[in-house]
Amino acid sequence: MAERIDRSERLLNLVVAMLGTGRAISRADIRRVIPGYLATASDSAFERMFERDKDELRSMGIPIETVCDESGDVLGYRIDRQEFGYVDVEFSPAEFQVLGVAAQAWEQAALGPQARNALLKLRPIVADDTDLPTIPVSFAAHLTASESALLPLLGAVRAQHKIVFPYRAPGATTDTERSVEPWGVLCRSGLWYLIGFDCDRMAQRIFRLGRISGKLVDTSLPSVEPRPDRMQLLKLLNDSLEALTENAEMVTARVVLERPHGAQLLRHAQSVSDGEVGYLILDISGSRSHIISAVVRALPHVEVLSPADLIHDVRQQIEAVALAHSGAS
Amino acid sequence: MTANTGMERVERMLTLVPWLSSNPGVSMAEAARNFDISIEQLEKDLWTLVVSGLPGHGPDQLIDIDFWDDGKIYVRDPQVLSTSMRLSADESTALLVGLRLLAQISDGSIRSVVLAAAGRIEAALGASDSGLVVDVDSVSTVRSDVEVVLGNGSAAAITYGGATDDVVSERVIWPHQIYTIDDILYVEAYCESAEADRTFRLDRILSLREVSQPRPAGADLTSGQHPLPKEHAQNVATIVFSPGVAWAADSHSVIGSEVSSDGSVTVTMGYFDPNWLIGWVMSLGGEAVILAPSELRAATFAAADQALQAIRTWQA
Repeated sequence: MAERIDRSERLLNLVVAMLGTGRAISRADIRRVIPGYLATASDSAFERMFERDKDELRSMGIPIETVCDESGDVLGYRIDRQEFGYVDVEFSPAEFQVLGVAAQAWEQAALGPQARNALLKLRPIVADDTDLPTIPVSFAAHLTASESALLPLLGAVRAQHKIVFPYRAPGATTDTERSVEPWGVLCRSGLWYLIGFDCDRMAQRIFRLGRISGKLVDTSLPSVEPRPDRMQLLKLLNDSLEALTENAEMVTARVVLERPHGAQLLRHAQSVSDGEVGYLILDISGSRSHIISAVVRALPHVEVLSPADLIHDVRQQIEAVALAHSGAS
Repeated sequence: MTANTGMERVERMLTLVPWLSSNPGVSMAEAARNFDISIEQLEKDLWTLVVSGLPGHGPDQLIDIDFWDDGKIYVRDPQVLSTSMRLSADESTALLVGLRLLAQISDGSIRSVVLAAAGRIEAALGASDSGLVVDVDSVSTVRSDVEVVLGNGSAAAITYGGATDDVVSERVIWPHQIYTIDDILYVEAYCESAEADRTFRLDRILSLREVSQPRPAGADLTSGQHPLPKEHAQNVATIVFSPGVAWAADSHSVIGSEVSSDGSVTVTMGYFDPNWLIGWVMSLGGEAVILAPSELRAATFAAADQALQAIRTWQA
């Protein structure tokens, strides 16, 4: 019985052979010396197998060079060690330590496995291989983006490919299929956004990652619109989010607050002065909805002195809450 | 490298040899844990590696690894596998995004270490624009003040606006660590009044001044554990949102949601503190209505009723 060579063993030996060769290793030699090829029944079966292996290794990021002679005939194949790995790069132990902290940021998020792999790959190129000294690190980061769409999305952003995905817009009752040229993924106030060019609406749009309601597909079609840079993306996100609140009406109000309540109101305070013992007088300003929300939050430890329409709105809002929650559900 | 498809196994074996070389004498269990595989799978990988090598496959051409003595692994001859493969674009993105976040919350010599590491990865990769941007919320002077206190190892007297009860408190804290959850900054500190470690969101610190106060016992230990908001949210409520505010639950710990034909959304969500949830629902007016648990619904009604009684006493 012929010894069965598992595919990953064949590929491993192929990589080692191409890394170890000088100028190039020829197809004939590959077929002869790599376990797993010799048993192939025909020339064409070997060719198919080798072509597929080569494609897959390249798709893994392994830089296989095709070496030709002066007349353009293929002599064989090789992998340059400089291109394959990090030959002249070295991290200090302290740098490797912060790489570990950086990788931990993804521990519970979508790129967790990638961050772990990166550390495994870089460990061999840390200087002073013995015990790694530690530096005092008084910081940490945690990311929460766990959406499965993140990984294909980042690939499409890099490749500048159009993507399609089902999306449940806020307030919508059904999903719609969106076709987008993705520009970047940004985070704001703990929410993750995709910014891109919406090909159906012919305009720049933002999408919440958490509202992508199904599989995100990379169409492999090239994006057409120019992609904004990092700073422009941040500005686009700010503008888009501001546009949502732009129409918000601003109000100023004067309130009496019982200490120590009203933490949210204090964040809107323009001025704070002492009232009667145990009370503060605040002049506050902000969007109407924010101010109402902060007053409601502080009740019953707050009194709105003015304006009258704010008092009216607060009362109406609380009445609505009471009505909606009266009786059993 | 958790799954075990052929290509992942090839990449893992190519990574394993240099990693083992840089960890001489590592145990089978430790190596398997680092690569997130079973010990059985690690043994299979090692057996494949030791029968592989350069063409010819003579004794001097095979990869040579000892792993049969006392569960420890020694690479005797890695052949050409002395360096790992380069990072994939996703792998370098993961590290760079993490490093850029750390660069925003560190300073001094540590910040330069973070930037040096990021620079090395960018240089080795030849690209830096991953399309993934996390910029921390920059909080005026509080952040730099916390950094100063942290650097001096001293204490800070803070005025803190709590989110759950909307109450302002005065506390003395000894900061251990600044950290972010996404773009939101927190400081973990020993809190004198709680006599324990507490977490403070930087944008809720209303004022801060450095104070000189003897360090209490217990203020030196840091847990280093930062439960994410979702892990905190152990209680469950069912709330129905009107179409206009259906997005409000997005930033919270949603377990399930169902849209009705009129566009209203019934959401099952986790929460930590009932007072916070009641306050949040009240701030959404009648647009969010608690269906369950019934005690929470009743407590919301009682809070609204109490608020209305207070409003009736207002002078205006």
